[in-house]
Amino acid sequence: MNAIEINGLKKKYSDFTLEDISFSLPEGSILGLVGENGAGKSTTINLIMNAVSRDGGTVTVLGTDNRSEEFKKTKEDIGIVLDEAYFPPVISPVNVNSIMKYTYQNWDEHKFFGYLKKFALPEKKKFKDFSRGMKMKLAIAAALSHDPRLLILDEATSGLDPIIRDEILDIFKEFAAKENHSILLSSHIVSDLEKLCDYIAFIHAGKLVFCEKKEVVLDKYALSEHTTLEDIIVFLAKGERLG
Amino acid sequence: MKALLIKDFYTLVKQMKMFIVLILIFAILPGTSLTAFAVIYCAMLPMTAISYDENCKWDKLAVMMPYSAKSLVFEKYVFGYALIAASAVISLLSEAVLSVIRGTEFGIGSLGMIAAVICVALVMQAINLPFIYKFGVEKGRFVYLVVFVAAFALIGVAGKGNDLSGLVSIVHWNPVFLACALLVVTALLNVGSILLSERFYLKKNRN
Repeated sequence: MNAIEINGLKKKYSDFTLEDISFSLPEGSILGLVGENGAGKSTTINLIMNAVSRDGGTVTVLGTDNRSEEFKKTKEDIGIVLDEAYFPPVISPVNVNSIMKYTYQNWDEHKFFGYLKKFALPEKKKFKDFSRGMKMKLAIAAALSHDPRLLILDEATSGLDPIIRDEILDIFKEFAAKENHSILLSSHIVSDLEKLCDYIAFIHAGKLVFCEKKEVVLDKYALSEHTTLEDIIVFLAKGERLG
Repeated sequence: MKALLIKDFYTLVKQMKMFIVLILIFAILPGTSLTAFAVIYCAMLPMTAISYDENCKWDKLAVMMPYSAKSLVFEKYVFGYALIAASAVISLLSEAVLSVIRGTEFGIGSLGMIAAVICVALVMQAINLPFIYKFGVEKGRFVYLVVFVAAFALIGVAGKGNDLSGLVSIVHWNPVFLACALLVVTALLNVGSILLSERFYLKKNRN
């Protein structure tokens, strides 16, 4: 089964169009969505979560059409981390627990407080007094504490220093190691994707350039054994720009 | 819904401790105008909660979680209703306690007055929230103010040289009929307002 299956996805804005995006994320895998800022990665994620209405195509997440009534229940199995944590600044992790236990039926507060301990996050400190790394760790703790089968991460590591980023990537690896756990990770930090992903989908100016296994991409486009995924993406992006 | 109410409660309590203490004092102090201020001020608090949501971009996260668009909008109304009810109950209790201390009768007049103030607060909230969902908090607040001033100006202009005694005579209608009419109008306005707010919310956030 595919954790995510997208066919012919379209979305038109006055200044940007996402055209005919099709790819799938096999269950138990990690797919990296890569592209420049404004390429359409966040739009794709918003469309996957049915947070914005699409103009065409189909989206199935964990076997459920994302426009169906049942999708609200499917969201219980999806952990979300966006580019910012977006919690109200005055609340503390203890308050986050109180809110989330009435949001997710599967919310496991022992797991949540376990993550707080593991990430060395103070339970009663206000969110506004957290560093960016701490904020993202809190968002990850919240996303992992309702026993999701799928993690969707939209630029979750951007703006973080390399040490924190590495710590966070380890958390994602740990999640993905469990059976049937899948991750869709959007980022423009290609080195993160290279470390973590099984599949790479490259979006450029609203169009999908390719979606293939990471090894296939490296085999197909690498000029030497030293060529990195980042080199390939930069090379392809420049090529696409030049037509 | 419960999760959203808890979130708004935490946010508001922590951001507005002083204001909430003032509302409590106004609700407890004797005098109809202070009570009215406390209850009506509570009708404005859902707008404040939306403003906090806008500032921290909570909606970006909320639409990804298992909340429906309907529950995201309806919760703000319920939050307002709960605050209005709480301030009205505090006002009533303080009136009752004061009447015992003074040895005066706690009459139907006090109850009627608070009921009327509750209706005014509910109507204000019903008119206010669709503007906020349509235009956002900053613009919405301004448009709401303009509409209110324009409505009063219109009444003023209409009243100049015209006989408004018919309008004034409403006060002398049967009080039970008047109360029922007020309740029906308030309920209808709120139902219409919720439907309109949902529509504006979806249009703004789903496109």
